Amino acid sequence: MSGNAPFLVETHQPATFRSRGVAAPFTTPLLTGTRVRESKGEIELVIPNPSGGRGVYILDWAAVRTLGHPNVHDTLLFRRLGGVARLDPAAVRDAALDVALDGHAGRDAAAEAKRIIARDAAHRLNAQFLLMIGLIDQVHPAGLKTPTAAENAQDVAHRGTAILHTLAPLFGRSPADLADALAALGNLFASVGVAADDTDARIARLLARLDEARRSLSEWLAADTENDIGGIGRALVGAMQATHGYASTIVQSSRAVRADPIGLLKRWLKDPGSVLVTANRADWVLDGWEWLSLLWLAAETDVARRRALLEMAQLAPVLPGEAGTWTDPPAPPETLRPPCRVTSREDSWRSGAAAFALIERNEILRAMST
Amino acid sequence: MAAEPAPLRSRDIRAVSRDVAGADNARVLRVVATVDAMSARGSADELIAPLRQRLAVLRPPRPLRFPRLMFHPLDPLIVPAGRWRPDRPTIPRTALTPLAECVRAAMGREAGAIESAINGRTTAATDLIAAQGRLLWPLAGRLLISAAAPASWSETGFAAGIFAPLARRTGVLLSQMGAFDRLCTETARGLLPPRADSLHAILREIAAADESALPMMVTLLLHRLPEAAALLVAGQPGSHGAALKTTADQTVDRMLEQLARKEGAAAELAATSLEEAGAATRRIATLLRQLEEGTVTPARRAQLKLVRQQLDAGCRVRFAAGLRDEVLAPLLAGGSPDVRVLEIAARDLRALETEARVVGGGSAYDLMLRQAADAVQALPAEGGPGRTDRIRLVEILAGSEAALAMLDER
Repeated sequence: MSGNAPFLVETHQPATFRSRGVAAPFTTPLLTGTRVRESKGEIELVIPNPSGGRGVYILDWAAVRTLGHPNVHDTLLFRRLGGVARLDPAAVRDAALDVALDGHAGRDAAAEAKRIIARDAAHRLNAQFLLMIGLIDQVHPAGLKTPTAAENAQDVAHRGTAILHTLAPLFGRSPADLADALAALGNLFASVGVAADDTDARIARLLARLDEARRSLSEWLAADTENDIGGIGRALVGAMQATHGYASTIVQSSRAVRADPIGLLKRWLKDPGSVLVTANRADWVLDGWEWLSLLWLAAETDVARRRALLEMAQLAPVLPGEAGTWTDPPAPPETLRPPCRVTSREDSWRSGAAAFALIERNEILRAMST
Repeated sequence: MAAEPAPLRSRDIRAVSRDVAGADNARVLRVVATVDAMSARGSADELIAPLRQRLAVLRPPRPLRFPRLMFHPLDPLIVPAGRWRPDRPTIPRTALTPLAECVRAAMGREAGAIESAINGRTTAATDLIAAQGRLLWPLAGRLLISAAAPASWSETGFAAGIFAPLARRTGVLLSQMGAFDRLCTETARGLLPPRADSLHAILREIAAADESALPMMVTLLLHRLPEAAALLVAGQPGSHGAALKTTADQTVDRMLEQLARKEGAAAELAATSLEEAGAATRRIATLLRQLEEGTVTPARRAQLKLVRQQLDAGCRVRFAAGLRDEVLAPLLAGGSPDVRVLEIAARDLRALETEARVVGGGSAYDLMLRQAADAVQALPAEGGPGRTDRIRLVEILAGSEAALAMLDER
């Protein structure tokens, strides 16, 4: 948008993931649930209607600053996002980790960011390694029993280098180009995981967390029917279940690429954009759900759970129409519309004195993020 | 075999109590932990008596034992034995143990199951308190309504005739604590309005069982659910409606009288931890706002004004003390203060200040917060909190604009 005047978009049914925007982990309570997206080279913010009613506000940063006072963490995150080449969930996550690492989301989040960055690096190496093994298996099916132990790493490197030299003329590229491509693919698929049964990859952990939150919420609702508030809990369980199922299908199809590393290399060298789309789909589908899962899992008392339920109802992500074409069968219809809505007469629950506790809570959730 | 330690004599206890009363917080907490760890506290309990006000500020988690769980929802009604009068809506502290003993003996194995569930846990386990409490309170309530005085009642120093009506009132209240706890939980700490039908059902049950327990219930409601004050004083239809309205008005008057006194709202805040001061201020402010709704007599209007003044004064004093003791003193003492603790204290202060501004003192808070932020910025570059920590502290104390200016000043 241009200018600073906020306006309400009454219907927000984004057609694509990019127009929906990426969930940004701002910690200022008034920015909870905000998404960021690119528009004409600028970043605009898609902010849920604070009343919980229909529609979203589309604002630029200057307008956000006139509406409220974004904290230092959020300002730095926004500045960092300005330097990102392509806004997607992975890029926003990386930017948020950088800001957290500097301590602007508190000391616990800084320590966790350090740990996560190290773990990401290990996962990238592992993914590169597994892709190389896949390549060796594909070229010499009987030549290598899939090694996983560290002592075989050197052997894999030697054989892999030899195979890259063999393949290079067929691709019309140098062995170094192919090695770079394989490394880039490893980095790209690290979060979704390359091994079929990888439960430690980031997306697998996000799925596990979503499922844990769904189970916990279901159990709480089953323990006492009075726990639900106007059916919000049941609606959220349904949305979580549908999203989990849909995202799991996408993860499996994304991981299927390992069966044909040569084909994957060819696709990457010819059309990297299409590979990017395949690798990032699960991230886009799950974008925003971790925060909801954490809101629920961090709530330890009945009062906190009821508060969490009311907040979650306003934040449940809706898939854009584009998601309907990603799988066969397509995304379940319930993932394409809001599961529930809560309107409030005022936003005192997240402003005034409540805001200080919520910032602290949001920073705790940041420190719990994967 | 080691000899049993000699029982403490009253003279010994008085001497130790005097020592403990002047001790620093760490020592107070050690003493309380030691007494709490005793299986039979006996006279040692007296050691804690002079510390209760400080314990309210320090709020250490206490071991969750059967009597503590049983009386958890009635805490606002509990007073020292010396301050208890039969016609007041209160429960003397010395009566807690005999009343709990009655219930435990009558419950038998069921009491044992609850004790097993809470064994080793503390008052910090609020979910456990709610879950086990909802099992215990209705049972305890039924048993107390017709309980006979146990032998230990004589140790309270109260006449035997006091037991039955006190046990009955306590029982009537406990019978409704499950429903009351649910009513409070449903509001999600003020996000949703209290349900009038649930509230009236609780009051009707109590009025039908023992009208003398109504003032106690109204006191509990005003303490824990001030959002319900307007509903209470508006009255309700039904056979007990008139009695309820009268009781509510009288209890509100008594509560306002207490809050307006010198040792009222201000003292209540002084005896509250910084963590809870904001919530305590909001509770009293909500009560006042609720009572201002609808038709208000001139006398009550004057009373409300007086309480506001008391609350305003109390908030300023509590804020200044909290800022001095929990933020500035550790910061300026040198060394490496725990930044997490400082941030929590600063946030608690801002929560208190934001609630307090509703009753006044805006410019005073602005000044104190600005001075505190200046003190953080003026800290020597070497030692103490790092630059990011300082920026965060300035942000909490003085807002994001001041913090951003500090961030960008390089």
